[in-house]
Amino acid sequence: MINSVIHLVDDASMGGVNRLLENLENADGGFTLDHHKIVRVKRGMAKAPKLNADVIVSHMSISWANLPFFTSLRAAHPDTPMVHVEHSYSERFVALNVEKRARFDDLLGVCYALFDRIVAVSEPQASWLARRKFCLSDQIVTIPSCVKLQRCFDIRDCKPDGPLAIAAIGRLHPQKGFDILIEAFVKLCNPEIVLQIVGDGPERSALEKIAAGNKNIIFRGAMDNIALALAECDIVAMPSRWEPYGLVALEAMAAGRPVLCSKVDGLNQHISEGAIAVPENTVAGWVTMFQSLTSREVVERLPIGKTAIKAEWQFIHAWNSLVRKLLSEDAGNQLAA
Amino acid sequence: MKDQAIDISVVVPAYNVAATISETLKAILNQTFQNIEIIIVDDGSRDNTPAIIASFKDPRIIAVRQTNRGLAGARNSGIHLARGKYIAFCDSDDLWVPEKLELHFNHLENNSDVGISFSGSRMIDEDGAFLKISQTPKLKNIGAADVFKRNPIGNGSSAVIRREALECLNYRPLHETERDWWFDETLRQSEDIDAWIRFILSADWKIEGIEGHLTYYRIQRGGLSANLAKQFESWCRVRDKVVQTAPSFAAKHVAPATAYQLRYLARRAFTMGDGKAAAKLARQSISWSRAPIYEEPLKTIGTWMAAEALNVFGAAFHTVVSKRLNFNPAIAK
Repeated sequence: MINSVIHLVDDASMGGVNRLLENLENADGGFTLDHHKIVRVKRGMAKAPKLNADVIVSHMSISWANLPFFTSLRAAHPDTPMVHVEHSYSERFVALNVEKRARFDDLLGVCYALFDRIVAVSEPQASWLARRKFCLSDQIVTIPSCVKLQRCFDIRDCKPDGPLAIAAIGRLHPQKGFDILIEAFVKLCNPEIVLQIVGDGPERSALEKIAAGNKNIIFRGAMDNIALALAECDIVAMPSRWEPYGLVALEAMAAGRPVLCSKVDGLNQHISEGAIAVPENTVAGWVTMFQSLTSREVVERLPIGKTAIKAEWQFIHAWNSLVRKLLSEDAGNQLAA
Repeated sequence: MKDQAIDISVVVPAYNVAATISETLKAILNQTFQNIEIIIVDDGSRDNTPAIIASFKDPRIIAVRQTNRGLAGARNSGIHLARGKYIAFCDSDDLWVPEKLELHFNHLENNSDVGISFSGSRMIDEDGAFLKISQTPKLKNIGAADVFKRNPIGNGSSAVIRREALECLNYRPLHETERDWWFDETLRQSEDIDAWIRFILSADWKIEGIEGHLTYYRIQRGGLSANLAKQFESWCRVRDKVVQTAPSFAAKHVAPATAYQLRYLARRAFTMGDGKAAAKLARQSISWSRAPIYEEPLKTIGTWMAAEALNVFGAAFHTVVSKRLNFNPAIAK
């Protein structure tokens, strides 16, 4: 039986979430058992639409402003299994950004209670959610995010010419910590290395100011096809301040690029799979790291990480089993009733 | 002890502390809470410290010696060896009341969301006599701003930490070949505040205090006001790390935190009897931020006036004021 699964996103959703959903929606016929469909809702909408679905999945960000929406979503679909995928929050996010922690705990507790399952996007995020008891521990399912990786696999052997290139890929937002990277790069002052900043966002002009016209720091703007950006670099740097999962690390590993990253949240999972930890996510810490990258030969000897070969399949499989599980529980409940 | 899980590892860094370590170790061994191990890290002492450590025969003691790495390095070696569910730190010139570990153990066992348990402290002098001032900090609802501005944990012998939570401080610098770091060994001062602020800005664990003055924190008299400049320098390094880790938090709290730090140093300069330095630091403090005036008017204005008066009237004033007001700024952070 083909079930219909509706994925809700709002217009504030990040690039990663959108790419992930495209992956589910267009997954090759043989893999997905269900019909996945994306429904976009307007941010701040108070009343949820009535959806005709067997399972509803929220990819929206939880906030007090969205609480009426989630409540009405549950009220409109009292018997439909509902899943929330936690793309926004992580332990570091809370430590750095939440001043009123008790109020935040209440928000997550109230919202999570409306859902049958909470999907954690990484193991570290799952253990944080479980430790803080925002929901019951058997409510948590860990499904690391995944996008289509074929285009990344395709460029594995494609190496750039010219000077050693380090790429930083993502939204230009304080979360990504590109300011730390750029400042370190300016301090390093090594004409043999270039830094490519791929992405756009609110911090762009601030970052350009830090770069101060340094010829070896190139702002490339946003690129739809990440594989293209990866093809033109030797190594990927992720100095994130918080990161529930860090999809770019997976794509970089699939493309055979070593990943240097901070030891935060979901990036710890990538580190356990072969990404290289930068011990101190500070300007000094990155300068030291860059100083060890003396040539392309050195970079080529770095570990690339056990990628990604199985990631796509595992992702689709995990969603297939979650949907089956929810629907069989649902049938059981109806039988009991 | 081998077969039983250890509840608390007590880490005691020791560097040239022949005069005090004996008393410190006795206070630890006399704790009402007994299921502990005591890891003494002799950080390359050149006095009689090793012999004194060796004279203690309790099976719960593990003594190691290393070439000098500094306080942070000694604590890190202790953490590296520690097997307990909780880790307590006690500098080898400070003392604990006998119930200290028992009370913190109960606090941590009963509050699974608390990562660091601390308490207030009383001050003692070189001879172990009580000074009239204590550290009585805010105990609950501790946020990152509280840690940055006022360091409620107070001193290096106050905190008992859940091992699982401490791991958020763990890292290994590229040049380090022996073991991991938790405290930053490149800092020779302010290593505590650096660790606590990193802790609260990276982990979703609570820092919470319990009632009572459970630590006796020893104040060394004298000292040179020239060292205050160094102390401020290392605090500024910690501040710069905060700016990089948490830019939006820093934008809001750097100025008041700097003002509090300078006020603290002004009080230190006052105890040392250096009116010129005290007045300069007090003025710098006010120029950074007026937050200490609004938040703690008496203490802030008192510090300022005392510093200015000492600057003008000199040593005679210092003796009179210190005696009459029991104003001992070194400790009244």
